[in-house]
Amino acid sequence: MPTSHIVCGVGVPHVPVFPKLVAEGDHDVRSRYEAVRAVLERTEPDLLVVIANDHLNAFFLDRLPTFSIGIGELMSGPMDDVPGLTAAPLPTDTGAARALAEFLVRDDYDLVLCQEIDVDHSVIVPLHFLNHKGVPVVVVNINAYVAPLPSAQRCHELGRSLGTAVEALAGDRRVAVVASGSFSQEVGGPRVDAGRAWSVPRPDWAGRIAELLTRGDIESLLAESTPGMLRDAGTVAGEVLSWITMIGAAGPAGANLSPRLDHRSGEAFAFGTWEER
Amino acid sequence: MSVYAINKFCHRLTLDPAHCAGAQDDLPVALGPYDLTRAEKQAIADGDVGFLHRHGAHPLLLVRLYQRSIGGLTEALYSERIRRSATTEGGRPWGS
Repeated sequence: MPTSHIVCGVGVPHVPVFPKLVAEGDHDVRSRYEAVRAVLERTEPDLLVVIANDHLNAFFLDRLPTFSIGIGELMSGPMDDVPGLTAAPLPTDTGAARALAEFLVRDDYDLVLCQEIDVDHSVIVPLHFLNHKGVPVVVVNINAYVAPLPSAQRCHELGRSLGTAVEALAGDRRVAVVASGSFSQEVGGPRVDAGRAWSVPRPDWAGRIAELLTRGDIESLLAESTPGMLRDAGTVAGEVLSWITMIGAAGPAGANLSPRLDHRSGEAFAFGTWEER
Repeated sequence: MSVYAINKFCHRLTLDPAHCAGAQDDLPVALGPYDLTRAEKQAIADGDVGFLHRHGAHPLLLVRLYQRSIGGLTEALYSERIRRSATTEGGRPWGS
């Protein structure tokens, strides 16, 4: 029985304006993040692995990694516009990050290794709401925005390898895996709503993902998350790959982790937790 | 079409405050170092994001033009022009 293990998985959206809305009194958004934070704090992780998607901020088209992991002490953010938040260093655990990276690369997942990295709102918005205790963070970025995206199957397998890598960590670690992102959203593309630069083109797909996650039907989720489906669901719909990776990590212990999804019909996203029964 | 150069110009708007300030102050000068055709420079100056999108510029980079008020763009104008690009002949999805 491995001593280090995943104590919970969670998933949340990273809408940049949410911190400002909550600061101005949006109790609904606040309570939905707080429900996730309660699970995180109850399970007492000593390491957070955040699965996120850099929005062409830290990485550009000149050298765009499909998968990357931060392994150094130098990590800060947000490096992009998050109203009300300014860039600050993140708590890191370079020993754990390097051990996870070494395991993943040995297991044939060839992540780009980043000794210094700035992170954008996809990392900072979840941490702003969830990491009040300043738990050390490891960031894994997945390319969710520039074709060709990695396949859902590949991301799920990466997550499974990550779960095994966690079990190989020395020191009886308690690890939480945090997925960041939405399921259906068009940002900046031709299907945006009139008057604004975004929309939710396939709320039915967002609902379908929430349904499959609730049922634990990951096989169907992988089969249905095709490149065509993700294109149709919006310019940033690839963010579901973060959730699929997180599920892969939490999945081997899936019998012990119970899902709870907070999704409302018509929304682009969900708030989800996978907690030990 | 110098799609890469358009994307790079947009990317630097958020990464490099001096570049952004220069673009807001004197756009033709700021565009100078980029390998762009006259039509492309004009499209950026006019805020013609439909043209830029149809030719392959990435939406997550194009939005930075309105976020930094380049070419007279507002969010409403951006929306109006990018929506029109969906039905224009010759358009193609980004990244495909």
